[in-house]
Amino acid sequence: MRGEQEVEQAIELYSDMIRRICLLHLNNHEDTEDVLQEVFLKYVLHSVGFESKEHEKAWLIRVTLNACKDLKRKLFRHSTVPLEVLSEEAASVVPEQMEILETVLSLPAKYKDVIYLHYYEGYTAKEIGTMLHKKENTVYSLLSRGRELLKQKLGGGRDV
Amino acid sequence: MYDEIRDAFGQIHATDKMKRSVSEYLSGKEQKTVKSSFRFRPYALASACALLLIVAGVGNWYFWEMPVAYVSVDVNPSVELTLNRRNRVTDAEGLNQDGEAVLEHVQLEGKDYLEAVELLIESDAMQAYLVENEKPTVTVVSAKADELLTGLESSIVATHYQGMCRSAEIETVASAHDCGMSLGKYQIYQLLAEYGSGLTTEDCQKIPMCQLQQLLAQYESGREMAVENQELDWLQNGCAHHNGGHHHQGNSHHME
Repeated sequence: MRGEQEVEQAIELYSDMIRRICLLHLNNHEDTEDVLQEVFLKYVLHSVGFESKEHEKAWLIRVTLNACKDLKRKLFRHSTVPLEVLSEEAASVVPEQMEILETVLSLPAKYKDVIYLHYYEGYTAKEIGTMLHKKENTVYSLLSRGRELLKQKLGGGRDV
Repeated sequence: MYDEIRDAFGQIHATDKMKRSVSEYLSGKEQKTVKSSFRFRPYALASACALLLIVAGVGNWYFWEMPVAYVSVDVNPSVELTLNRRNRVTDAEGLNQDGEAVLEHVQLEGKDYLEAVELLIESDAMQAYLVENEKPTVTVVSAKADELLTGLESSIVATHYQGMCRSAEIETVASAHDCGMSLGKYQIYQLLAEYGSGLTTEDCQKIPMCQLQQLLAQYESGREMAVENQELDWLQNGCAHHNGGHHHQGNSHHME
């Protein structure tokens, strides 16, 4: 079991990332809080040491994605993304960025993870494949199709 | 656009309330662990609320969407089916690369579980793996596992392919999902761990199902030695009777 200080550091370091992944899959803050609790409880109880910070981060991404998926399986959730999930940010995020966020969130689920992991977290297709148990070529296809959809939804003129 | 996406997501942060709720939850958890064995389950309240909604008339989802059972099919491709209350498939997921490849060729959602398992096993994509007396393993997690197993044991899984049909505990579902493993493979990992094989979940993910089964058979026949690094490399390389040429967990496998 991990020490209190280590867990508090992890909460500070990774809560934002987990919130962003939850944003891709969940509709409201209550569900996000449930997943945050679930993920960090697993982190506390995870007795095996991590080889590096990168290993720890990849583990947390995988556990978060699974927690989101399990929560969606357990309870009925609407597949659309209401603005409520972005209500906290509505005042502080500029409209152009809000449009991009909403457009990414409106993509089918299979594209959102790879778009986020590649564009925001900076993972390569190979790394994403390892993390999501997908073939590298499948990740390339999802990225390519996701980019196309983003272009279409955002008006075509943008270079994704 | 690259920068725009990054900047947009950079605006998203966990709120102080969220961080606080995690800390409070974890410290409450710690206290409860010390005081008693009672475990607060965050989903329990939500499940109760969902039940109330169902009772109030939102019953459609209850019958058609709510997952009540899981069936995993492992050859080397690992595929997991989620079933609703009427034993129909609501979701089919590949749990390894071979499993994903197989699902690209077959549509299982909406079908009865027996029809889905038989379609999967009989698909051209899966048949490519069912060579050299390879046997499928079908693992069921359900409150009515006996009923599902009875059906499977009279299906082609057992009658034609001499496959193994068994049940697993509901508690293993979350653990298996966290490791990205199918129920069947996770169950074998648990058995191998009990025998002291020393294999981790990461090791087992990379070892084809046939090798895991052969290894389990060795332990069941009295083997005591843990798996050493050299043997692990060999196990991950593929099934002995395929000379390592057919099954791969980590490399691309093209069915076409």
